[in-house]
Parts: sequence; structure tokens; C-alpha cells
Amino acid sequence: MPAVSGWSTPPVSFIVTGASATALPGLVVGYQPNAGETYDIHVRDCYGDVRPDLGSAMAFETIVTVDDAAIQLSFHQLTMAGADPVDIATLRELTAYPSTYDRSAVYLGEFDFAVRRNLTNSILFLSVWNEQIEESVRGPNVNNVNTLFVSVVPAAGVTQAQIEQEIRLIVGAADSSLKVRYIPAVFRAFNITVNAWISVVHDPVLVQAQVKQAILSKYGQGTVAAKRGMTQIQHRAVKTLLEQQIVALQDDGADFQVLVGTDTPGALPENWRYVDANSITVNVQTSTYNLGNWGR
Amino acid sequence: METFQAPALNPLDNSHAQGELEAELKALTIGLFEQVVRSAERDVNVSGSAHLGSFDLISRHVKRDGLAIFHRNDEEAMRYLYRAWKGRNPKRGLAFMRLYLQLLFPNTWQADQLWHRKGATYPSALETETDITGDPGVNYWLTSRIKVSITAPDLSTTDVQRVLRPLRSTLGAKFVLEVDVTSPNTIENTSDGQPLGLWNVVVVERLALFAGPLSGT
Repeated sequence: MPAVSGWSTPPVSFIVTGASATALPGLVVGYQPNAGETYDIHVRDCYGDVRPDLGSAMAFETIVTVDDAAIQLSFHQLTMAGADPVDIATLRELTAYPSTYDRSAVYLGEFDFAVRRNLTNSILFLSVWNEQIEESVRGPNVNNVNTLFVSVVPAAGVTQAQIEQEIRLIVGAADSSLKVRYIPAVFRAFNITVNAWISVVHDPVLVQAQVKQAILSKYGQGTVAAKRGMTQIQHRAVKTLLEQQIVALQDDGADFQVLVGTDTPGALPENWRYVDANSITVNVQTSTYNLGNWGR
Repeated sequence: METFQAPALNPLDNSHAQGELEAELKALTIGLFEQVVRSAERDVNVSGSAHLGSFDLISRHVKRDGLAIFHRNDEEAMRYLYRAWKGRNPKRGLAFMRLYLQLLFPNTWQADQLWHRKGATYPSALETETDITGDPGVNYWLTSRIKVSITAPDLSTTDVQRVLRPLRSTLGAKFVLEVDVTSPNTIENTSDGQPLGLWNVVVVERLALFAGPLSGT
């Protein structure tokens, strides 16, 4: 049952049409609207990522009386889009927590997890930090005491104000003794350089594109990795990714090297870090060593 | 806390062997089990209560369960701490950190939540409750800062960073941790070759969280 609030005071929560309270005294539950009255109906639940166009016609799921059909419904405002079921990469992220975690947020990581778990499809980036981390980058300030700092970029269809309101509710439910302060996210690219030596069988240009695509699909904007703050890409993870996905790098004669830029000085907790097409450098050469072996 | 001793295959050992062949088979089974299976079997057997397992098992579990332990070659303390972390951790306040300090640096530590003088610029006038005469609430307000002082002969100045992170992992999000490490700096006296112990070298460091990669993705 969607919550309904009218312009009348107090807001009504239950509207019945087609029954007259005067004809059936004491038997009608709820409010009888008069012709021409206007209401805001807030829908809080939906299945999947539903984003109707503004002004599009809406209808009730069921119509009980003939008079119900006389109600004109149109879509007025999207405050927060619905969300599709999460994908496997996100599920992995959401199930990777210590066995001691009991949904009670005390440690810093637990606050991050509490927010992320509830809003996973509504965010492109989320970073949660505390007074200690804030102090280590911007120095002590008396206003930072008992404050939780949050930097968030909402996904398309969700407004910044709405997501901030949601986070305030989630943090408040977890620990109401903390203040929440929002810091705007700042984009900062991850620089990755891949040097690869491959067999002459493969086209270097094509391999270059494949490597770029593989890295972008794991560390680009909107990926699970890019949704976290205060992280560094692991060399090992990139190596495993390339070994699994790039055929040219799988044979015995191929070799490659991954360099991840660690520009940690000047890094801030609100840095929204992901790899974009300009921050990947891929150098592919055909291998000139191991010439004495078969197939090269 | 005692770890479980690996049991011998006594039931099989004590069972009757009919003839020489069966005795040899029994000996072979027991021998192979002890040689090949036993070491892995111990860890699998206690994986639900890892504090009873081998050091490898416990360190794997410690990492996975989000507890950082400063390595002090004290296996018993690590086992106890891990068990406390899993079982009876109140999370809030300093209780767990005090247990941690007591296990790793017995009786040579002090941990206090600091008060700050009202009106003074934060954080220039921090005091522990014991340093304040009278009711601290009159002229001071309670901050979220925690000061830990450790006196340890085997900690060098470079170990401070290594102590900070684990201690930080035992504190709630709202706290700010500062650690002092006082360690004796042995300076060789050139005149008679006798080492001269100094106990007043104090290292204070705040947690520099952006000194390196925080976590991998």
C-alpha cells in the first residue's frame, strides 16, 4: 500500500472512493475524496530499475469500483530510482566481510559496509572516514569531534540530496551519536602502465585494445572497484585479470609487466579513483627473445 | 591456553591384528596417516575454532576476521587475543584495546581518553583525567582522543607505525588514537665500552593513513 499524503492536514493515509460515508454511516474506512481534489501519492517500493518519464500516465494496480477509473494519475517527480537485483561482482563485494561482523556498526569499516550494503545500486562512489583520517590529511579541528565524513556520488536517477538523506538515516540507525558531514568527491585517475611482449602471431594493436578494455571493465567508472574510496589497485589483481582474459599473454613466450601509479602523497579520502581511457598506457611489442624456441 | 594435542590413532592401534599381513597393513595405515594426512587434518579439524590450530591457520583467520595483530613472537597471546576478538568483544569503548595491550605489552602500557580545556584551541590543551585536579567536567570537555603510552624494551622507533595500525583496528570509528612508545636506546659508551641505557627516548606519532596503500581492490 503506497503511503498517501494529501494537501489537507493531517495527511491522510487511506483513501476510499466509490462509497459514500453519508449513505453508509460508520461503515466506510478511510477518507472520501471530493471531485477535483488533488493528492501527492508517494510510491516507496518498486521492482527493478523503474524510471518513468515525467508526466507519463500511471494507473492503479487493481481497480475495485467503477469510480476508481475516474481518478487521473500522472507521474510527477522521481526522487530515487528503483534498483535492479545486484550483479555477481557486487554480491561478491557484499558478502566479503569478516565472520565476526554482526551488523552492528562500531568500527569504521562497519559504517562503510552498512551504507554500501543498503545503497549499493544507488551509488557510483562512496567513501566513509572518521576524525582520525580527516585529521591526518587536513589537520585537527574541534568541529571534527564525533563526526563521520562521507563522500558520495549518486548513480544516475538519484539526486545528491536524496542519497545524502538516505545515508544520514542509515548512519543514524547504526549509531545516532555521530554527526555526518558530506565532502564533495574529487576525481583522481589511477595511472596504469602495461608493458607486454607477445608472439608475432598476435596483432599488437588489437592486443593493446583488449588490455585497455579488460582493465576498464574492472577498474573503470561504475565498477565495483571504483565505488570504494581510499583504495589502491593491486598489481596482483591486474596481473591475474590480464592472464585470464588476454589470449596473447597466455602462451609461454609472452611476458608482461604491470605498473600501477602510487601517487599517494596528496591523496585524499574523498578522491574518487578509477581508471579512465586516458590513464591507461599499454605498450605492446612483439617478442624478440627466446628466438631459438619453436613457434617464435 | 593449551592447544589440542594431535591424537594418535589409538583405536586402530589397539585393535587386534589377525596375522602378520594385517599387522603390517595396520602399521602402514597408521604410518601413512601420520606422515601424509595428519598435519592437514589438524587444521581442518579445528578450523571452526582456529585459536586451537597451527600458527599458519590462526594467522590466516586473524587476517580474514579483520583483526590486525602486531607480531611479537608470542603465539599464546595471539591465540588468546583472537579468541577474545571472536567471542567476547564488546567493540565499544577501550575494553578490547586494553586487553590487547595487556597481552602484548604486559603492565607497561597506559591508555586514557583525553579531556580538553574549555576555551583553549583544540587540540592544544589535552589532559588525562588523572592529571586534572577535581571534577574534570567543570573546566574540561571529554574528547574522542585516546592516548596510549607503551614502554617496551624491544620496540624500536620504527616499530611505532607497526603498533599503530593494529591498535587502531581495535577502536571504534569515532576515536582518534595517538601512541607514544618509550624504548631504551642503547648507546655505546666509547670510554669503557659499556652500554648506556637511556629510557627517555619518546616517539610520538599520529597515524598517517595515507602513507601507503590502504587496501586492495
